[in-house]
Amino acid sequence: MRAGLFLKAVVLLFLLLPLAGCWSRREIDALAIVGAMGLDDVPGSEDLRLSVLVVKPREVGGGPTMGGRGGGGGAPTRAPAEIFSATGADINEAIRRLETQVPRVLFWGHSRALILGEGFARRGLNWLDWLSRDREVRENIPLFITSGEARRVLELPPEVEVLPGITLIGILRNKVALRVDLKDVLVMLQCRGDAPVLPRIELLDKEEKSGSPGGGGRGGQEAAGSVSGGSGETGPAGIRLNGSGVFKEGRLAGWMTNDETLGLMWLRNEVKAGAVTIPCPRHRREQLSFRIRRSRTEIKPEIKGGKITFQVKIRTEGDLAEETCSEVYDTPRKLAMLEGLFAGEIRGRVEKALARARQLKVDCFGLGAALYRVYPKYFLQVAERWDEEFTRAEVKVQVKVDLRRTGMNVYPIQSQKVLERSATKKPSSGAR
Amino acid sequence: MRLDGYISARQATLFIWFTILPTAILFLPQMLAKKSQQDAWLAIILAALPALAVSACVYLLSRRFPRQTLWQMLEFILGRPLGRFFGFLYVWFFLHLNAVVVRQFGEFLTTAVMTETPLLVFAVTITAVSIYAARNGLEVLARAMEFIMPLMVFFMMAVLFLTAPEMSGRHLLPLMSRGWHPVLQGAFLAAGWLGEVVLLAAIVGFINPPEGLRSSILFGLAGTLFFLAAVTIGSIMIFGAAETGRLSFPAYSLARQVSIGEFLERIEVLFMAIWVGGVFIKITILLYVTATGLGTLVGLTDYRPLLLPLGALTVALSVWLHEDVTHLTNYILRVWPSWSLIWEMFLPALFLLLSLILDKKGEGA
Repeated sequence: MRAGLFLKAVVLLFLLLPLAGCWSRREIDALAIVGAMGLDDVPGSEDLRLSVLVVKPREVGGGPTMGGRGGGGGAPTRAPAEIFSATGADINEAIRRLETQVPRVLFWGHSRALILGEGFARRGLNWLDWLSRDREVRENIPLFITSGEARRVLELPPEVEVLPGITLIGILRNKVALRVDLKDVLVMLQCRGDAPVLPRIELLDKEEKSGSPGGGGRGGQEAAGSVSGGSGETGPAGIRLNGSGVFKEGRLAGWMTNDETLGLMWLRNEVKAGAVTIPCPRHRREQLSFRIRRSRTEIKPEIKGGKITFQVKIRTEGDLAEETCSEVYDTPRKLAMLEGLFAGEIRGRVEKALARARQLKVDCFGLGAALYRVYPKYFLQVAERWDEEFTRAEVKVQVKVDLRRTGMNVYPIQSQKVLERSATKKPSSGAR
Repeated sequence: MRLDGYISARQATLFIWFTILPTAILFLPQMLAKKSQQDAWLAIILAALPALAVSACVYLLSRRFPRQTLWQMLEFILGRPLGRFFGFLYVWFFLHLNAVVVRQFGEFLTTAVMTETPLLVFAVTITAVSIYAARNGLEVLARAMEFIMPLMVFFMMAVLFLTAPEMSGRHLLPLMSRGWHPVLQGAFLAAGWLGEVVLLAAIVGFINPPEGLRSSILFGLAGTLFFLAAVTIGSIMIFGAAETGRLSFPAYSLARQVSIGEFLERIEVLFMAIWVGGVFIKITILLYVTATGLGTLVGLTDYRPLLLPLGALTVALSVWLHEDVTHLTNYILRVWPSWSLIWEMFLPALFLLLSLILDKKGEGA
């Protein structure tokens, strides 16, 4: 009885040992949390350069608003993150070298963005293996490409959002730009008859960002004019997503402009929001905008006599969002005319994207994959030379736009005058 | 050996579910996607046929030998020496299977969750807990199943529903683009796994009422197939066949994909925790069956003293059998299907045939 009690006590005492906590625990103050990653090539060498943005929790602590800091209007705040950068023959070697610079354990689980530099992208995407093999990196981090150095994107000063990774995620959440996650890239890379496309980050200097001359025009996007805070002499003042980079056989093959990228998104069935703007049919200098609420693209491949045709059906619906001219579209017939014009604009974008892809000889729309789904035997025959076949395939684009609603007002601002004018005209013309 | 306790037909259903699903759900989708590409789900459905055949054998044997365990049936059919010989082989088969399961459990945790912890730690801890659980007997084990099963179902459904927005049915097409061959290969692989339902033969005598057996077999297999197919289809609809075949643990990666409004995410650790509960049941089932089988064969009055040495042996085997994860997967892909089907399908069918030819029946049949 005594011995049993003693034994129990010993066991209980031993159980105290694990109570000290986990063996390989890593407390948050011992972690270097990587907020974003950039990958670049090293010119004149086979090596790559890995740049990581290590978050400084102390500086981010105040939340994304950074409230109250700085005081005297626009005084530069302390950087919320630090950039470390190292080269290596592969990513792992670069990380091991980073670990000789960073005083904490690198933690990758919170990376919000991966940016590829142009030179690196031209070398190929096989380097992404580490990202899917490592257990910390998540498959749903978005990838970007930039013409120039990826490292520069990380230098974005803290603005609305403190960290560039959060900024990029925030922009993607607007759903206007193409979003491609690590998982999507891996799927597109392995899929026959498909090729990866990555959204392109453009760096803006101070003037471009706050909306000075330049840019403009239809299809051009301008960042909202905000009072730029940090001094930012060397780094970029802002970023925007503009266009995309197209990959062929896992290497960057060329660029698409913003309009072409929008066309690509229509074809890939990636459009979830956004707007289409066309000039007013009567007054070319006035504008009409259609706000997309829902959209669906269906691709139907057909083979007739050895010739491949893709029937692309785009159905999209949304609201009339803006009208600066005073034309009234208040009957079904007039509305149908308007819908036709919007459809034409969308088709134009798709055609542009197709033309660029044909020029680059890459099927970056997954048309081949669509063909494989319906005619697997046929596709397997042409799979090896699909990029060639793709340039010869015919793509028929059919767009149907439904303007469901007109927003909070029914008529444009000056429409009453127009209506009265036509009302007085009509009897006179009838009398004549 | 005197074994008491009864399990209900519903608990027998869960028994089948836990015998197959916990490891299958994590390891099979990748292998099936590699073998059968987007037709992996067809392979699973095809593999239901051999699984049904196995359970039909068990069912018919149990009809002829009511209230008997596999080992008692073997002695009845084959006579004492031969029946014992095959009995020992079955004990070895289940012990070996358990070692593979423990190894898979450890490999998953060291790969995906705690990379710095040695495999042995996981093997020892889960086996220790299983030994404790198996000491309490079949009825307690069955009640533990009833507790863990809803959790597993809830989390699997939650993961599938929460990732549904990312899914695309296009990844499932085209059907059988490379003909029947890849599908059959996948079905063969899955059959080895689904055939583990043969474990039911070891506890079939405890099901009360015995008439419930048929429905528990049907519901048990249907539930297993449903969740196995759902997770496989879900993975393929998210990652595509090529990527699913490349990932080590598609089900776990699937749970990692959950991201709802950037606050409901990173739930994979919870998923993993529940899954550990499932594997714990599977290991306990195997340990219990091995110990009671060996106890019957050597004529012990109690199986409990056997649990600790058998558990230790399982841990040792799990570490010794395979050098590394590549060896393990190679073994599962190349050796296991044909090896396991001998024990799961060929021999039970043979025994059934013998009992019919020799017209052997147990008491009360």
